[in-house]
Amino acid sequence: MNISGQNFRLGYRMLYEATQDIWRGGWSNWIVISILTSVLAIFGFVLQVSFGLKVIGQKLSDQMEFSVYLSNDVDVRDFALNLGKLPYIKRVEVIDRDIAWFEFKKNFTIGDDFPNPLPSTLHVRVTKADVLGSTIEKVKSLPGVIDLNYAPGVLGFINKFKNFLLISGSVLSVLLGLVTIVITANTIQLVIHSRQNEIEVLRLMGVDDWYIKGPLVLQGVFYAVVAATIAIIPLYILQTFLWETAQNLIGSILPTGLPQFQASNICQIYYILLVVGMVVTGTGCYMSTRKYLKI
Amino acid sequence: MIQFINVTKIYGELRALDNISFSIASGEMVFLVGPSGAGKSTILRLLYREEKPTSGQVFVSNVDVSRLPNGQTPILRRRMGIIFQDFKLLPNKTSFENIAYPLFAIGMDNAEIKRRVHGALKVVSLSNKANDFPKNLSGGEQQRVGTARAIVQGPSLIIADEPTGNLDPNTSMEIFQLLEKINQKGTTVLIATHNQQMVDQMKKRVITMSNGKITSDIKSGSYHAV
Repeated sequence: MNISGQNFRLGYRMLYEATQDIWRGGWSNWIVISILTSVLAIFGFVLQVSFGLKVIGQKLSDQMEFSVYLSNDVDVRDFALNLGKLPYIKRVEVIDRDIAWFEFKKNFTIGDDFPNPLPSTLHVRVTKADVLGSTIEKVKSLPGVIDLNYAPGVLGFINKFKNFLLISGSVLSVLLGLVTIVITANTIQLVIHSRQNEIEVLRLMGVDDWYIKGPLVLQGVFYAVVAATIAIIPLYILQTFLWETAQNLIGSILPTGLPQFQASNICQIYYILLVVGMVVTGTGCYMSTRKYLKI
Repeated sequence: MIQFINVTKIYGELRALDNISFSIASGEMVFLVGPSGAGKSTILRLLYREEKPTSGQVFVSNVDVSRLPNGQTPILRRRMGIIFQDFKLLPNKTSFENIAYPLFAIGMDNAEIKRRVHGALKVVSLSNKANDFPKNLSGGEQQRVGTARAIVQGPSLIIADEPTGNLDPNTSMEIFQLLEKINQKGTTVLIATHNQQMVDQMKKRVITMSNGKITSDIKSGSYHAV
């Protein structure tokens, strides 16, 4: 017998068995799929909220920026280079006074003989919110700095709020992730339990354990794919609705960059639901079947 | 073909088999009789390694089944055919698929599977029921499908655990005749049964058990040999 041909036949037959079992399962499939869909949809919603909180936290972090105004005798590029070497400095953006003045004059009618009153400006972003205060103090004391612009009162609040959002989002995701695993594993266990007799028959016929497990694992994976695909639909609708509502109500104060985030976010959630679903149902089927294969 | 050497099987406080020894030669047809709880099913379960003996050795075709690694158990079971009182057919599969399943699972090619399954269906006279599901078959027909499944891999040993327990006398007779026909082709057949009438009619070797012990072993015996 040709070994590769035999392996191909076995793979095909396991897939066929899985398909046939699903087909003949009829409505019982939909009971399992609806349970998995509900659990995955709730998990997906929590992920959605968590991601939303995370991005809001991130956007708040982006406000961790201050502007430095320099005297005219300072070489602005050298200054920026040295500033960039300080700890916790993420980015330094240079706004040269001549370029700023040129841009300014484009919008206003100002005579060419009018002297440039603008200082060179640096927009400095720090790596984390809690070092913003100390970094500002350090920069303030550097020679050539005329002034700094920042919102000192907001600093502590933003920092605390961002941490709260990140921690609560993560905790919620992990908790719901565990709940999803427990419910999915139990549902799969019920599916396998209902086929206990069948597994016993196959075992007594001398069918190898892996051939018994294979179609059941594939069936579990199929349930997960269908459930994740159905679960993402209401999440997508909800996200679109919430986004449009937020745009209409508080569009002006929403952080920038959210639309792009929204689009990639739903794909990301779908992938997570798919992977979590497939891993949990696949492993659940494998482990539950193993229980009935013990001698 | 089969050899039990000083086999004891204890479940908790219950001594299901008590130091029994016997052997069955290739090509024999043997009845295992005795009251419920005598240890008949335990003997069969030890043979297809659903259980391991507490002590002693169980040989099938010179292989010590009690020391067989778990991974080898499916290979052992493929060399024997097992027939059950409750038929144990897969409800969602047709007669053909039920019989073919063990062959599918070893990767046999489709043409050979077809040939073997139709051959087995012919032996049990059910060629016209190949596409029927178990729920559409009578008890006797289901048992014949079970028998076809047991013989489809061409085993050297058939083990039947109360094969007529759920059947009427006429159908029981048919099943016993079928097993005798299989035996006449050289397959060893071991049947655990309560069916006194059939055992008496068949005039085969009868091993009688009581309380986990063999009380008699008669070459051409009857159920009354206890």
